[in-house]
Amino acid sequence: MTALLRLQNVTVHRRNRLVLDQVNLSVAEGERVVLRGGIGAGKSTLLLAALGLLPLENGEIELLGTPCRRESEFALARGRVGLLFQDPDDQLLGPTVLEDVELGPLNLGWSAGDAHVAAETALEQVALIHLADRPIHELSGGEKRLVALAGLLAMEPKLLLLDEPTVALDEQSSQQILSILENSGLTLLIASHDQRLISTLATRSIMLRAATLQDQ
Amino acid sequence: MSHHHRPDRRLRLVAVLLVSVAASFASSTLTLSLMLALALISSVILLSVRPNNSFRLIRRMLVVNMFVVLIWLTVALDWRSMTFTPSGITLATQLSLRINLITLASLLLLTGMTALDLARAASGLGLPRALGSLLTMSIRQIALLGETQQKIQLAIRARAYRPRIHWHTIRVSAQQVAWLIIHALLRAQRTELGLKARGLDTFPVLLRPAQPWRLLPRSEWYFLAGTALAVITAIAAAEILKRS
Amino acid sequence: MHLAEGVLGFPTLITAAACTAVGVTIGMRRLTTRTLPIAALFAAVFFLIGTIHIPVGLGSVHLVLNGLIGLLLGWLAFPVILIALSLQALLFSFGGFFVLGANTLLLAAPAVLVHYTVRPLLKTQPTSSNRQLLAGSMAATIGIGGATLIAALMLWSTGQDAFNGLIGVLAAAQLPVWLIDTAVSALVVTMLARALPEALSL
Repeated sequence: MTALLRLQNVTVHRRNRLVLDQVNLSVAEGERVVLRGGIGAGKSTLLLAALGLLPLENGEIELLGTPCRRESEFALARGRVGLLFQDPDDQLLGPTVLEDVELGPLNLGWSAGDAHVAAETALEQVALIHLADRPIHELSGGEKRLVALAGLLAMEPKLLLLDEPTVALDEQSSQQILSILENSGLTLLIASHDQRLISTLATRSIMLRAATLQDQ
Repeated sequence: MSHHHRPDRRLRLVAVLLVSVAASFASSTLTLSLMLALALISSVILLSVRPNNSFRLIRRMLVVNMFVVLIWLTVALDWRSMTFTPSGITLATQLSLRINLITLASLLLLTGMTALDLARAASGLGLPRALGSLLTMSIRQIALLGETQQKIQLAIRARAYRPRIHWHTIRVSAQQVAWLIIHALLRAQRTELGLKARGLDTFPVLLRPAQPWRLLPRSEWYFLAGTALAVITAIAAAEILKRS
Repeated sequence: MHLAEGVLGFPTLITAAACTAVGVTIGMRRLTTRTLPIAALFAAVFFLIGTIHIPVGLGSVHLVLNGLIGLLLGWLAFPVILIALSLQALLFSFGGFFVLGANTLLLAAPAVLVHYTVRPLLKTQPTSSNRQLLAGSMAATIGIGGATLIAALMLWSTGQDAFNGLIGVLAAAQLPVWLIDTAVSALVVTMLARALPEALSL
């Protein structure tokens, strides 16, 4: 089984605090790994670092089998590895829903027609195609998160990293995201403390505590 | 699947600029009066079709004319003799006509235009891509930061805020601004991560490429043509009347 | 300060627009992946600052703070202010887009000046709170003073002596704005220095 993500001895400091201390993690294709840990434990930091968005004090990162050291190497991988932020407003950049979802494929170099089709398909996958022309700021929190997810799915990623995908969502939206993730068939690394998510989706569970990872 | 697309309003923007340039260029009172007359007729027609805009339009025109009164008091009136000078009256008249004409034309042509419409219109007229992306991003951030600002205002007011004490008001306003800037910078950091995470480079194309000119709706061309016709008619009529 | 459209003459408007275009071009060169979100956020900040009103006697004065924006952003102030003003023009119907160049120039040019003259005051860390207050006050003074000067210049180039009265009245009206902007700017710089010092060295 190929490892889609590999962290070796990764050490990260944030604001003079040691957040990740020689962390080792491997996510194989087909796995759905849930990352648990208390508030401030560093789950978001781990996900950001995995995509090369934070400077590493120490360690190696491999994305989709390719070691990534420089920004350019990470940039290449980011189309195929999606990160869903906890606050969707951080990554929703297009004016309307459809335009935002098209951004990813367009930037990967796809033609306008292909990007359009991919965006529509992704929106259908999250059941929000009816909101295609809605301006982003008219959406509810749950809808924004689903649109952000669609934006990642449109790029046909191999691996998805998700930061607390069900937090602050109502029952129905929560359920919706869980079933979308389940049916996607994608390899997942999810930071979450949602019990239902863990029991529904997780194939493996790990705990981040005191800057180190422990299997569960 | 067909989606409802908002019409590209670039031609209206051109029409507004056309009126602004023509009005700023024209110096004859006659020309300006004729253009204003045509604008007034158009506004009456438009308001009879869509009366719900009338309150906003009239209120705006009243506010603008307060500035016009200021102009009369400073430009036309000689304070030493407390009389109106002929040259002052001419200049003040010219300015009054020009200001009213441009304001009215802008209000008429730009009704119902949203910030995003402006971004698309400008982009369609050749606004550089980087500036277009900045404009689009700014529009979103105004909405987001505006929500934050309302929360900041509520939080500050909840702390027994008494607006009568002036020094306190200034302190509170400074707090508002400081918090706004801090939130803005924190959001900027996260947005930068969001950009990078989505693989978007420095000037991501945030707006869809503008519609080609030939696909613009006919109605928009009529707006522009009508405006151009009105301007030309006014100039021509003024010339004819002057000669006769 | 907004100059209404229709007051300035055609040559003045064109010249101002050309100057603004140059300023914006220089500003756009400073855009990177890091500064693009900062610019967008500050366009929002400047837009929202314009909506904060402070009661003064019978009326109210709204904040400008172009000097503060310049202190923080430098040449980026040009595109940022242009965008904020164009959105204000559309949404609050300040009418006309031809005068946008002039209104941007009178706010952004002093802002850039502030960046070069006042910013060095804050270079050597740590700065005393007196120095911070001074920096904020200077930023506001150069910001409002510069804006008033450029506006006066533009009005004078349009109407010469006929506009003297108007220029006088508008300049006098800027006095309360200057006082309040100075107080707020000074305080904001000290608040930023305490809460988020990185803001002062973007």
